[in-house]
Amino acid sequence: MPSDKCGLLPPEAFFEQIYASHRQSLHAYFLGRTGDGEVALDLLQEIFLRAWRNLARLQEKAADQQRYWLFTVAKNLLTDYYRHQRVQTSAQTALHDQTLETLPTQKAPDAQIEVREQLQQLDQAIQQLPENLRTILLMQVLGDLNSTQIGDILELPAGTVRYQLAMARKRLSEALQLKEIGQLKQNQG
Amino acid sequence: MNFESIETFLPDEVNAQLDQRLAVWRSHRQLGPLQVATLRQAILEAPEQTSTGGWEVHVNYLNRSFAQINFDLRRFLPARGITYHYQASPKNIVQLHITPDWQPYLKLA
Repeated sequence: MPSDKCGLLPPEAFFEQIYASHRQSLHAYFLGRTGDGEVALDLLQEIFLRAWRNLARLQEKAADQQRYWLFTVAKNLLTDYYRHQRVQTSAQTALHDQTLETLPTQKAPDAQIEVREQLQQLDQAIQQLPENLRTILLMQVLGDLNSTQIGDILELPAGTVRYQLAMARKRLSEALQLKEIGQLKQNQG
Repeated sequence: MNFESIETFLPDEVNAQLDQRLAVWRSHRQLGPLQVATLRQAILEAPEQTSTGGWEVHVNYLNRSFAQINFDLRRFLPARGITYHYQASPKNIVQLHITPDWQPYLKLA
């Protein structure tokens, strides 16, 4: 999308553009940082509410500055969230809350159960990652951002992001006990 | 999914299995169309920020009006070959600082 410095888009259309471009990456960021699906959605709503209320200001910025503005506000929102969160609620309610709603309904019950178990297993594994690794992983997997973009947002070198991503994947594979097929056969034998 | 070339400590087979599991996970955990639409609706229909007094209500109204005027001017004047100078002389500016994030770019002079 071109920069909107000329202000050619009407407010609602501009909001749609911002919403479509950034909702996945912001959702991934909030989910990674908080580990809580409900909180992530609340924060997502709050940030786009602020964007909507500051639309004219946001519209004057170039596309990369719009992303910068959104993530700066996102970081401030998280700071406020942590400040008010005296008692950390258990993150276990977090990621698997949506499971039932999002499961494909047309599948047979057995397949559903299997998918649900796999999702819950992965939810737990992701949940157990340290916050920095979880955030980077989710920003890549859910947010569709590459290491340079993640690095820009988190103020880290792209190489560090790639390293931490690899660490996160290694820990996940260990938690999920993923093995090479040859190794599996050996173990079974 | 955005699996760019990344560092890896894992064998190819395990990497592939993990990618597959993450792809399934992503398809269930990303915002669904219903959530996207509901969230959007909630934002667009959210009430205006609560005000603490009549003066703030008035300033918020002015702020919205300025934003609209500014938007219209920026949109229509260049097409007619008119340059829009919205930076007024500092000595003539009436600054209205009521809400912290309120920064009018069309200023009362």
